[in-house]
This record gives sequence, structure tokens and C-alpha cells, in this order.
Amino acid sequence: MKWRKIFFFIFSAILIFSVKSFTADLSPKDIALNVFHRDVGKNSEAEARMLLIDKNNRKKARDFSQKRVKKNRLEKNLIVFRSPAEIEGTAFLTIEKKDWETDQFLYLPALKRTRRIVSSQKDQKFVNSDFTYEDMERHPVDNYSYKLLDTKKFNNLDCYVLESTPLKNTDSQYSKTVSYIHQDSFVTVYKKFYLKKNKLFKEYKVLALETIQNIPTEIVVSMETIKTNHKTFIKIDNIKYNTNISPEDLSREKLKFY
Amino acid sequence: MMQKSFYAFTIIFILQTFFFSSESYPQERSYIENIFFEKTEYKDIVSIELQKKTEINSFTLKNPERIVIDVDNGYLPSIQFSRLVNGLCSKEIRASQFKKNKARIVIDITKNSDCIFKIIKTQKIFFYSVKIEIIPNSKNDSSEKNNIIPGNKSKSELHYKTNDSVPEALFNNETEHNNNNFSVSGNFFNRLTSDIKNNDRIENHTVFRNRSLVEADYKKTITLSALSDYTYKSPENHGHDYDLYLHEAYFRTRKSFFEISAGKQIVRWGKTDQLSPVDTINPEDLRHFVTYDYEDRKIPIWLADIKIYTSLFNIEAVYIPFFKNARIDHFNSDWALFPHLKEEIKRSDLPNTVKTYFTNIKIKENIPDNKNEYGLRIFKTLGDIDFGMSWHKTSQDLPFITNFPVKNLSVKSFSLSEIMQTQVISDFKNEDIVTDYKNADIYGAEFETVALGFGIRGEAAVQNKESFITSSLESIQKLTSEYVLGIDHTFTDNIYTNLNFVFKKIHKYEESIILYKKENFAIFGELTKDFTSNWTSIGFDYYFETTSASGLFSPNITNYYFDNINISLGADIFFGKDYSNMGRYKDNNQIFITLDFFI
Repeated sequence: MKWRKIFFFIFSAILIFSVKSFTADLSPKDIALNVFHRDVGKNSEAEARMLLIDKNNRKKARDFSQKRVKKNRLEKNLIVFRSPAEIEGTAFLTIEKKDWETDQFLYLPALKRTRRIVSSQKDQKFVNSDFTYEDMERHPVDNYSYKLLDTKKFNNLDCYVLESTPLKNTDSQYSKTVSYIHQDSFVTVYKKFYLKKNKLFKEYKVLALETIQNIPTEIVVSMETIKTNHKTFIKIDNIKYNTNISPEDLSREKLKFY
Repeated sequence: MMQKSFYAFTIIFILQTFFFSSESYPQERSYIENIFFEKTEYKDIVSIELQKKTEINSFTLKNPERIVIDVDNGYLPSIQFSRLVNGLCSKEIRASQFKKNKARIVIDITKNSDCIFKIIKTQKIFFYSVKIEIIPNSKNDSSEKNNIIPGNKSKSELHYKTNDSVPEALFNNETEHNNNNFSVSGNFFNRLTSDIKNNDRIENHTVFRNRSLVEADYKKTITLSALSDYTYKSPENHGHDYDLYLHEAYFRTRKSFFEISAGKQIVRWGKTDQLSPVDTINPEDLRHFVTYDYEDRKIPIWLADIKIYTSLFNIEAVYIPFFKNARIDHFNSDWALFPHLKEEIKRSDLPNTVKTYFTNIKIKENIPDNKNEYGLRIFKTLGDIDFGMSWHKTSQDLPFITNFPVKNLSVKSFSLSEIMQTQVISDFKNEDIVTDYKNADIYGAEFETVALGFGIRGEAAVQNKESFITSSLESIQKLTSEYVLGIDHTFTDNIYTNLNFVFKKIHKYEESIILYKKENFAIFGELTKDFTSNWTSIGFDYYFETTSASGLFSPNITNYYFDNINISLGADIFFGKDYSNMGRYKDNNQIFITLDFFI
């Protein structure tokens, strides 16, 4: 009887301390929930460079700063372009709402005014990149169905291979996505986007992943549109988490000050 | 039996967990688990964390200069690894599986940097640490201080970085992230226009304009800009119009619920594009009529603008201490109020007395010395709708013609033939054209929202005394109401459309008013499609007044291939009857090429 208790104790301890054993029991939806709710700090600030490359290897670079802040689980996200000069000062603000719709505002210095823009045009390219507005939004977990296809390694990281299919009433340009999700950090390190008839449309890759202030951070990412062979790379610099930005700092009225 | 099975299962489980899990590696290998880089004030530190102790060999190579660390029995996961670093001596760290039983880490050293390196090996609790300290010779003496540069205290753990076709341009810092508080920018706009058709009349066939704006900005709080504006017109009125002046000069700040901006600036009211009846604060430069975009026609003026944000609604108050009128040419330009009237008369068969009379005719502008303006605007967002209401006590920007020296006129337009028709010399009074700028109150309402994938915005404005020119070429004032409703949408394949409806009613209309009917309805907007990887766009801007069947079509193609250089080719096609607002300019139909350059 005593031995049984000892074995039970050891067995329980193994279960508790073995992350792998625990995560292996996650349901596909649990994995999606972990991705959605992974710790990315209460806010962050970063500088970034976006590089657009077309099929003829012509390149265009754009530098921008990004600020993100979370309040009551909803995010505000601000992107302000620093270069090239022709779009310098252009600011794009996204504010999540309770129904998971977003308010989007664009400040154009030349127009001297902030314009409310349509957020439901999710399939539109963001500043002519391979990222669409949908790619840049967070997606509520309940709007998709999930299937765990496999576990594989990507860049030597153990990953869940999770298929997400939008539910009938979910507005999405994609028929499904297949994500490689790092099992420890729940960072999506590789993602394939499919259109109807399972046609592969785009590929997203995390090319460099660092842990900064204990938060796994995608430092270099790429998105490629397969059909056009057009690629977009984004490199993050100087990211700082949990700074003193407040939700009030990111408002449409303040866009001209960034 | 059950108990034995349970124990066996548990033992197998434990054994499997400890010895056969995916984390258990072959004995002879030592996995490279992490590579860090750290820069201190005195040295670069490259830290390698190995799964377990193993033999480390190091040496240096030249061309290019590099430190090579070989990890015997070291195993690097299948990918290659590289990281650009901005160290005192180090510029890149690379790692790869050099041989089956040897991993190699290479630290590329900045050319001609005089550095030494040392290796410190430590057995930690969970891993074996190898630290390579690279120390510039000049700082070697102080290396033991080991001070961390402020702000770099948090060490970054690198999970991985691939060489998976990451372009070098992503790391080029040609455009450094602009963290400076002070910035300078510029825009050099050049436009060459040429008339499509020689109308066998006096006109400017070719016009070149250079508009150069240089702006300095400090913390987005203080803005100063200067504008150089040069226009050359040919063949008539060979003009070299040139202006150089202070464009904007203002200070603005935001503290909590309070925002103030003061100085020479542009303040935008209203929501609609290109035609905004509520946006009455700044006058426009109409010397080229509406062939330039609305925002490019705006003239900064001296004013103070205060905004107060409250939970109920937001209030904006504007005070304009000095009057500033719109810029229009009265004579000697295709777009002037009386375009080439003087020259046409001079070259006509009219009697010399008439020629002399018109040559000497002048514009006497009664510009008020001290006509200050003020305005109030209340705005608020309710749900998804932004709306505002405004009142502007203004001096009108466009001239009110109080006296025209040719009497008993009854014209429908400003053309010479009409003015000279049935006129007798006795009608020519020895007077100037006298203009004034009348007061008016403008009450406005505006809204903007999005619905069903469309941007929707609108404005309404009521002006108690808007000026209109009559058939006697003198002005009268009327109560007007104007409404604009606009929608825009971006379709798949980057087709953008913007469609606006405008309705303007002149209350107590008089038949003598020219260019406008009692009720005027127009549609305007743009249609744009991006092509060739979004570096070329084809656009079609339009304005069509259904009331007078006149308008302006402006097809254009713009190339954005080069950063900060936009090249456009297009045309401005006016059409309609001579006495319509747009049709009167149809002799000016033109093609244009613009070169817009930004720094």
C-alpha cells in the first residue's frame, strides 16, 4: 500500500512537471486558445522595417514604428510610417471592439485629417504588402473550427500542426489555414493560407524568433504570395514590452502627434 | 494482478519519460541549445549553451577576419544560424553543422578592428557554458569592469534565426529609424501642362509650375515650412510668377483633455473629399482653378485652434485674427476671372478709345484691414458614427464684385464677345472693377461612418449670404444650402472607387445669377486601379454637373516605381456650355505630366 502511494506520488509529480505530457493533451481548440491568449505583454513599442520584393526582385522598403496596448483584453494597435518620405507621418490605428469588429483610422498628413476607413475589407493588402488587413487582426477563437493534423518540427522547434477553418458566418478570405505552432511558446512560426479548392495562396514564416523580456518575439517574418511570387519581409527592432504607454495614448485625436 | 500491472506500467512510464522521450539525445552528442550575444561597454560576449561538456577548439582566420569556435561532438539543429550584431568588434555570428561530429560557430570581426578574445568555459547546473569575450585592445585594461550599457540589461535569448532567403536589404539601415526629435522633409512638385488644342485665341498653351515645400518639425509640436512657388506661362503673358513665403509656422500641444495649436496653419473641418462645404476655415489657391487636388489648394492662415475633449462631447474653437482671401488671378491667365480680356480687346478691331479704356481698367480690392473670424465646432463619436456641427462667422474668401465699369450688361459668362455685344460707348464708365469681401455665417453638419464595407460620409452647410455673380458682372448675396454625400469602397484587385453626390440650392434665386441654377446637382469622385505590383496606378477623376451638363474628366496614370518619386501623366478635359461653371474652361483642356519628389 505504501509503495502504491509512492508510485502515485511520483506519477502525479511527473504529470505536473512534464510540460510535454500536459500539452499533448490539449485539444485543437485549446491550442488555438493558447495562441490567442499567449502573453505578449500589456503593451509594446517597436521599430520595424518592411521590405516588399516582387517576382523580378525589385525591392521597396518601408520603415515604421508600432505601438500596441491592451485594455480589457482588447487591443489598440498603431503603425506610423517613418519612411519613405512620401508616406512619412501616415498613421494607421486599429481599435478592437467587444464584438471583435475593429475601428480603423488613417491619418494622412497631407490631408490634415483622420479618416475612418472600412475595416471589413479584410482582403485588402496592407500598404501593398502581402499582408492583408485580415492577417494583421487577431481572430476570435470561436469563429473557427480546428483540427490537429500532426506534430512536426519547424526550424527544430516542436510544433503542433493546426488546421483552422472559418465557420459559416465568419468573414474570411481564406478557406482554411494550416499553422505550425511552437509547442512551448504557442507562437505560430509557419502558416499556410488556402483559398477555395484547397489552393495554397500564401505562406507565412517566422525567420527569427527571440525571447525578449521573457516574451517570445517574432523578429523577422515573411509572407509570400505563391501565385505572384511577391514577398514581404518584416524585421522588428528595439522592441520593448510593458512600457508606460497607456490606452489613452493611442487615440484617433492623437495620431497627428506621432 | 491489477496491482502488478499498475506498477509495471508506472515504471515503464517513468523510464520512458526519462530515457526515451524526444529530449533524450545520443550520448556522444552535445546539443547547442542557445547562442546569445551581449554587448557591454568594454567587450562583446558571445555565449554558447551546450547540453553537456565537450571539447572546444578555437582559432582565427583572415579575409575576412573571424573567430572560429569548433564544438567537438557538438550538434546544431538542422538549420543554419546567423545573426547580424552591432558589437564593438563583432558584426555577425554564424553557426552550422560543420561535420557530422563537429559544430562550428564563426564570429565575423569588423574589418581592421584590433581585438583580442578569450574563452571562458563553465559547467552550469543544467548546461555547459562557453563564453567568448571579444575585447577591443584599446579597452583591454578595463575589461574587468564589465559594465552593462544602460538599456541593454535584458539579455535576449535567441531561439533561432535562419538564413532562409532573408534579403540583405532588410538589414540595411539606409533610412535609420527616426528617433530624432527634429526632422526636415521636403516635397518638390513639378507640373508641365500643354493645351490639347490650339483654339486660335489668346491663351497659355504651355504652363510650367514648380512648387517646393521644405518643412522642419520639432517633436510634432513646432512646425515651420517655407514654400517656393514658380510659374511660367507661354506663349501669352510670358510670366515668371514667383513667390517665396512662410507656408506654415505653428505650435501645437495636447495635455490631457486639452489641445491647442496656434500659428499659421491649415485646419480641416468636414469629412467629405475634394468638395467640402463645411471646411471653410482656410481659403484656397484657385489660380489653376480645380486642376490641383483640394488639399494642395489650401492656404495656411494665422489662427488659434483650441480643442477640449470631454466625455459628453468635444468642442473646438477657432479664432482667425487676420483676413486672408482666396488666391485668384483677375486677368492674364487661362484660369483668371477675366482670363485674357484685356489682351483680346487690345488685339481686336474695337475703337482705340475702347482699347485704352480696357487697358487701363484695374481691380480695386477692398481687403478688410481687421476682419477677424471665429468658429465653433462640436464633435462626437456615437457608436460607429462620427458627427459634428459647426458655425463659422466668416469673411468670404472669394470676392464680391460691387462695381463693374461696363454698365447695362446682360451676359451669361465672362467672354469678350458677350461683354462687347450690343454695348455702346456710353455704357463704359471710367471706373475700376471694385471687389469686396462680405461677411457670412456658415452653419455646418458632418458625419462619417462605415457600413457594409463602404465608407460613408456627408456634410450639409447653410450659408446665409453666399456671393454669386450676376449677368451685370456684379455680385449679389443669397441664402444657400448645400449637401454632399460620399461613399467609397475598395474592391478586390485594388480597385478603389469614390462616389459623391452634391446638391446645392440657392434660395430666393434670381434669374440674373450666372453659372448656377436654382438647384444644382453634381456627382464627382474617382476610380483608381493599381497595376504591376502596385507600382503603377490608373485613375479617373470626374466631376459632372447634371444640371448644366458640364464637368471635368481627368484620366491619369501614375508610376511609383522609384521611392519618393511619383510621375503622373494625364489630362484635364472640361466640357459643357460656355456659360456653365466647368464648360467655360473647355478651351483650356490640357495634358499634364507631373514629377513629385519627396525627401
